[in-house]
Amino acid sequence: MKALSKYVLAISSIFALWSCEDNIDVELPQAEAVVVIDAWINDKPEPQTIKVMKSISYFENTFLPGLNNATITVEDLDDGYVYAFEKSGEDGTYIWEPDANKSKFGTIQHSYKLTVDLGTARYESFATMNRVPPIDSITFRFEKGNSFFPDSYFAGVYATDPLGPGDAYWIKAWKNGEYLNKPSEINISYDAGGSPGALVDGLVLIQPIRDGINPFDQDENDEFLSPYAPGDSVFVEIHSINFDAYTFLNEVIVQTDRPGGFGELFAQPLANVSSNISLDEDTPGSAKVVGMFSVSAVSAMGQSLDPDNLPVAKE
Amino acid sequence: MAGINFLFDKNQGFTWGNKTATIRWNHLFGDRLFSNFTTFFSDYDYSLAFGENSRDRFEWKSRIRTVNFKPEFTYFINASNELIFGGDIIYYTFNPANAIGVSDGESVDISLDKKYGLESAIFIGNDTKFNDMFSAEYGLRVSNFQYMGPGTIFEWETVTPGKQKQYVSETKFEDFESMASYTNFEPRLAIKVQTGEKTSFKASYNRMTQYVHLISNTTASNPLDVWTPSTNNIKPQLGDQYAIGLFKNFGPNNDYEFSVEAYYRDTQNQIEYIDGANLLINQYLEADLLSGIGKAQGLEFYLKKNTGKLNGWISYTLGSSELKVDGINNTEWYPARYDQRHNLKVVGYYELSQRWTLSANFTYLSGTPTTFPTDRYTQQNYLIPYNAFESRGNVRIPSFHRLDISATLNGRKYKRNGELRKNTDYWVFGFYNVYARRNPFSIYFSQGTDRPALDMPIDSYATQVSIVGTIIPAVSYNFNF
Repeated sequence: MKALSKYVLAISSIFALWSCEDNIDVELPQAEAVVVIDAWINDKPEPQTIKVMKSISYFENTFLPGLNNATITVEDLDDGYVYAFEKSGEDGTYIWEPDANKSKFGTIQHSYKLTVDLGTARYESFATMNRVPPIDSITFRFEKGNSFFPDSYFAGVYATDPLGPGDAYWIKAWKNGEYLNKPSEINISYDAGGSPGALVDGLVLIQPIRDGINPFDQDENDEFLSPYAPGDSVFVEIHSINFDAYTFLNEVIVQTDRPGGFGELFAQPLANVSSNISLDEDTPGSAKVVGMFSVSAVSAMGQSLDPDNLPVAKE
Repeated sequence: MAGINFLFDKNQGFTWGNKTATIRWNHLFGDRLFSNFTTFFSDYDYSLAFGENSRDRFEWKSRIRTVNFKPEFTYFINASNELIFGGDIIYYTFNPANAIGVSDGESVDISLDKKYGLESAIFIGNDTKFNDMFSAEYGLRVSNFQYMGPGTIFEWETVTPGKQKQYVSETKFEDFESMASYTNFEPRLAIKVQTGEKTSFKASYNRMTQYVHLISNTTASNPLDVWTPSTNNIKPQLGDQYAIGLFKNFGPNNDYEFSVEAYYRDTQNQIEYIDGANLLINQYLEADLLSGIGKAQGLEFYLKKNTGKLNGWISYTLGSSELKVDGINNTEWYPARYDQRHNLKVVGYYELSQRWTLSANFTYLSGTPTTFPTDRYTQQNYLIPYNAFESRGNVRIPSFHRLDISATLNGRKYKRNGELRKNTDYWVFGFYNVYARRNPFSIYFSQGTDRPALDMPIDSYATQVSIVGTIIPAVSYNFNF
């Protein structure tokens, strides 16, 4: 009997799904700056960088001011070797250069302690350089377009997670030398799967992670572009990370890769992302410190797209 | 039976559905004892699937089944006493995730264990009419919840309040073994004082217990939200509610109805979430859940005009709802996600003629609380928002208000030949959101959508999301036959 009214209701509820977005000016509460430590280092044979900075107001679109009076060391807790990071420039950058003693930073399975002395305060953190699987292959595949997507070439990276739980990875990709660094392009994996609670272990990286090396850029008409075109190259690095860093990146994704539009209804609220750096409580100083200390072993591979040489689909 | 499909193709999309069945049997034992036996069965399921092909796919199904048996008796003691008593047994089967992932042809079952719960209760209550002035309803319900095997219970330790808990140990249980048990007394009392024909006062107290919990920390709940039973770690939610009210009618024909009510509710064991909680397919879900206390209070006014060409009603609530959780918001009270200071609704009708009625409907709701950042910092060239006060709900999004108007044209009651029509029909012509307000439901902070250049500072934006930012005309034709 009410069938028609229901029908009308169904149509109006579709209207209710209409959403629109406006960039707005909001007044933010003012707070005292906090210490920011950006210490992601790895075993690539090249200089390693740690940055020490101060937070700034959210809408201040400038670089973070550096804190240039810090003393920074990273100690190998297994063999006692101390890596000293030296100040470089005036933007809070500190660098360790490979030398005759060490051609690269770190040893897999060793644990490291970061110490940042800043005035009277000492900040500390610990991390372990976990194992990293080699990249087995990078392959391209061609897919016919549909109403959302043009005919496209997608890249996939294959690596096999070693048996045993607790391996986490950050998979970074470069297209023609440009680092894919949008928040939506952060690609992390826990034991080849997407999250630690789901017991995936010892597998080839699962498909969404394999495919996480594709940029989904749009042209000026907001039409999607094929991620790769013939002649393009892709370069992939897998960085082993600790659970702390995995959690941190997961939180960064939640906080920075906002769905926007109607999806905001189901998005998580703003929350501070975690940090594994803390004040040594025996030293006077501000306990407000953010950032991560992470040491990674890295495996890498590059590939360029030759359309005449695509693998046959394994269906 | 109901179901919804959002399948993009046969491999991808999500679906949900609910099947229910009820068997009811009534019987009169003599002329004083009335019985009602109800058996209720419900099966709610939803699924999510995506994948490229059979070698690479993911499929997740989740369901909750409940079987409920409820015998209820009413005994008419005398003209002024009516005794109600009975019981209630509910058996729950939760299947939080029946999930399979296939990667490059190799498949892994990532299903979570089923969870079982048995809720049982007995209750007794009496409605008494002392005299023309005083009447009361009072009763007691005793409920018990068993978190039952087979299953595994986990023990967690809070290292830092408000952060993820640390694993201590786990214990396995056999079929039908009790893994956690809770018993609660739920008294209730409502008193009504009728002072004169048109005025009454009411006062009430009741305690409620909730053994099954919705796990969701998004702005709106969605069909994929997880439900969980009370466990050794998730305690049943208890609420005590107190209310008083005054109800008064005015006018010779009860032309106006007026009421004012005040309530206060405090709750225990309200579920909260750590920052960055992982709520989906997580066997260690409990490590990400926190528990706190809540309090809510409100003052509700209601005025209704029943007679005349112009009629309608106004309701207004002044309210607040707050939470306090160890380690969240510096362990101080903060507004709950659905906290609303003001809630005003005005509905008016005007009868223009026998066939035409005009109506207007205005709603005003205070903005709900949200958390804004104070600072920004960068890590590996990602711009991260930071709230240096570590507060929750430190800002409110702008208020919501909207006016809708419509005109209803009722169909003729009689056919041209003068006979009464069997069908009734009416047209509604309306405008929704007349002054095209962009009502925000969310404000989020983000860096720009472009790929940031490494040698440039990163831009940041605050974006307000509104649903229906424009006026919408609507025409509908309705008929009954």
